[in-house]
Amino acid sequence: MILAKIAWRSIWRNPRRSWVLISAVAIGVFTFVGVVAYIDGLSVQLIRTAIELRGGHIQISGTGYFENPALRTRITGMTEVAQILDNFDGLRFAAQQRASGMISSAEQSAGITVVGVDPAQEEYVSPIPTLMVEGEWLSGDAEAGEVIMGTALAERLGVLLGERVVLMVSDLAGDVSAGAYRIRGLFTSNSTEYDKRHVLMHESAMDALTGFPPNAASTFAIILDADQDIRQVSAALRGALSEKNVEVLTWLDRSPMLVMMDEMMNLTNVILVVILFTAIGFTLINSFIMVIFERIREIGIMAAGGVRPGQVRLLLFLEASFVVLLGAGVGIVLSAGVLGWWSAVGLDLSAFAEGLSRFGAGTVIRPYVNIGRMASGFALIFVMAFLAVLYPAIKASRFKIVDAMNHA
Amino acid sequence: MPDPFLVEAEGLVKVYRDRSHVPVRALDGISFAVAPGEFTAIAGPSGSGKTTLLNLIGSLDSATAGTIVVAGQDLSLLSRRARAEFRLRNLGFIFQSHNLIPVLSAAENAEFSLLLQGMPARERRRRVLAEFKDLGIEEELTRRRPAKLSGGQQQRVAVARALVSRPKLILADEPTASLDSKTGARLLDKMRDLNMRTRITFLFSTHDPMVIDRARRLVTLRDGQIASDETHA
Ligand SMILES: Nc1ncnc2c1ncn2[C@@H]1O[C@H](COP(=O)(O)OP(=O)(O)OP(=O)(O)O)[C@@H](O)[C@H]1O
Ligand SMILES: [Mg+2]
Repeated sequence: MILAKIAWRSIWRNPRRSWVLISAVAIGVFTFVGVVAYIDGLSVQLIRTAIELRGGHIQISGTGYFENPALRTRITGMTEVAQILDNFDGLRFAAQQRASGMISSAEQSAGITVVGVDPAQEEYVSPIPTLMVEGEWLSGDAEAGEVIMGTALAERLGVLLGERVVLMVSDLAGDVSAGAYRIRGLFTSNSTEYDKRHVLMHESAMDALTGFPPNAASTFAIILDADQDIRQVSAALRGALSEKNVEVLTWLDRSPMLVMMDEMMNLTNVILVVILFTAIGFTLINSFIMVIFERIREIGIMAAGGVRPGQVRLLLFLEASFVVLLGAGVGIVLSAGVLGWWSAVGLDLSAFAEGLSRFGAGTVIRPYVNIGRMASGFALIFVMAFLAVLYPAIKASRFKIVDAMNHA
Repeated sequence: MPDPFLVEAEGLVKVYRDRSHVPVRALDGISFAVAPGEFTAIAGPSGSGKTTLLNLIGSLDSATAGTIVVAGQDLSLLSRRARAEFRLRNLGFIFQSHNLIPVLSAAENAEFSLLLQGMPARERRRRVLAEFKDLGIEEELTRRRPAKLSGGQQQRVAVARALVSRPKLILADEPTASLDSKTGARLLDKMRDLNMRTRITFLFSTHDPMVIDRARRLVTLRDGQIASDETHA
């Protein structure tokens, strides 16, 4: 098509200006991809930490537990619930028992949540077994009298691996119950907040401490496969468990803060995109106004030769599209390279990101490429380019040919 | 009964307003007609309205008053888009200089209107090469961009572009002004030759005595009015 040919060749008439434009688009795309991948990486990590450490994608508990997580609000008939969950494809789950209490060393004490787990089952839903930095994850031996805790908590209590601590909880009957345990392992998760407040032990050992009946649990933590729709699965679970006196809550229901944080990050993305693309847009408008004034005479010749006003506009749109395509191409290649390297090494923010880890984002951020978001970003660049050349293009198509021809 | 005239102008007036909004009467009531196959020059002193008249006939500009009918079409009734379409089907233009699109080669410039008309590539190629040969444009020039052609070569390519689509009317505004007299004369002879063979109508505006000598009809303008209109045998 002749117009495409003219548009393409026109780009290379002023290679310097075109490269400036292409670079502007490329830098824009690169910044967009980089920042969005960073923010999404952070967000994904925050959410993943929250999901993995705090009850999974979907949590099942006794009715009212979410409002008031009391020991007595429990799921009775734990094995039946487990059987129902077993019938669902692609679910990983484990039951926990949770009680709040106090932990003491010789010098210090702290309020914590004690979590009783089935050590083998818990490995399916929790990252903690893989996060041990000293000692080991819980053994299957309920009689061993061992607990594990976060490194941060151990530091606060001034205790070392292998030393003893005393746990105190109020049991099911409401009486104070206490026991002494040896520290079997220390873990460090992405969230120091979590690490400071949780102590894990074998569920049977916990039964002994709290007086919990054997076939009961406080919660089921459920992890979904990536391709499963959380709302669909939770609705199905609610149906399947309707006979039971339980509540089924997704992480979206449980963590409005996290949802809000996620939304804020999305908003940050949007603001960034608007600023970035407006800047590129104005660069394009400027250059194209220059372009049409340089080419007034040619546009006049084309118009005299029978090129319709719409075709003049098309010509400029094509030219802008080529510039944007080239810029986006360069930007994508650049981003792919840098993101590849970045996800391999991670971005270590430990020097100045103390705050991040409190929220559970870890200090090493890896980029996350959300295809949908990236694609809509690119679509937006084209929309922006279209808008940017709209004014110059309309202007060019409305030139009085006679005036254009008088233009040297 | 078919229209005997290709161009019919009746009481044409064109008033321009310059920067200080002072009206300039570039054409002051011109009535004339052009029959098919004419080879006509419009002469007159600078500022007498020659270019203005050609632009109105070429539908590049619109008249302040009066009517103008070209190839049976009243130009004042056409939209911008329809005028473009009209020019593509009926007219060829040759301007004084810088006629060509800089990013296209000589051959691509010449086939421009054929491309817009959607003619198949092979036919386009054939016509352009025939026209080039006819106008003495060497084979090796076909791929060159206008910047690498001499002024005379550029004008010949412009003539080829105007001719390939076999328009009814070719409007040439001082086509020889940028050429030396030898090149200008050769080009003019070619055009006259084509006019004889193809019956394509040519309308020139010019100061050039060579053009005036070769024209079969000479219309002279003065202050936007027709001062004389003579047909040579
Ligand atoms: N765009 C315009 N705006 C204002 N006045 C104009 C415009 N174009 C032409 N004129 C005026 O109209 C008159 C006729 O101009 P035109 O270009 O038609 O003359 P011309 O006979 O072609 O002259 P030349 O021989 O110098 O080419 C002149 O007085 C000119 O100054
Ligand atoms: Mg003139």
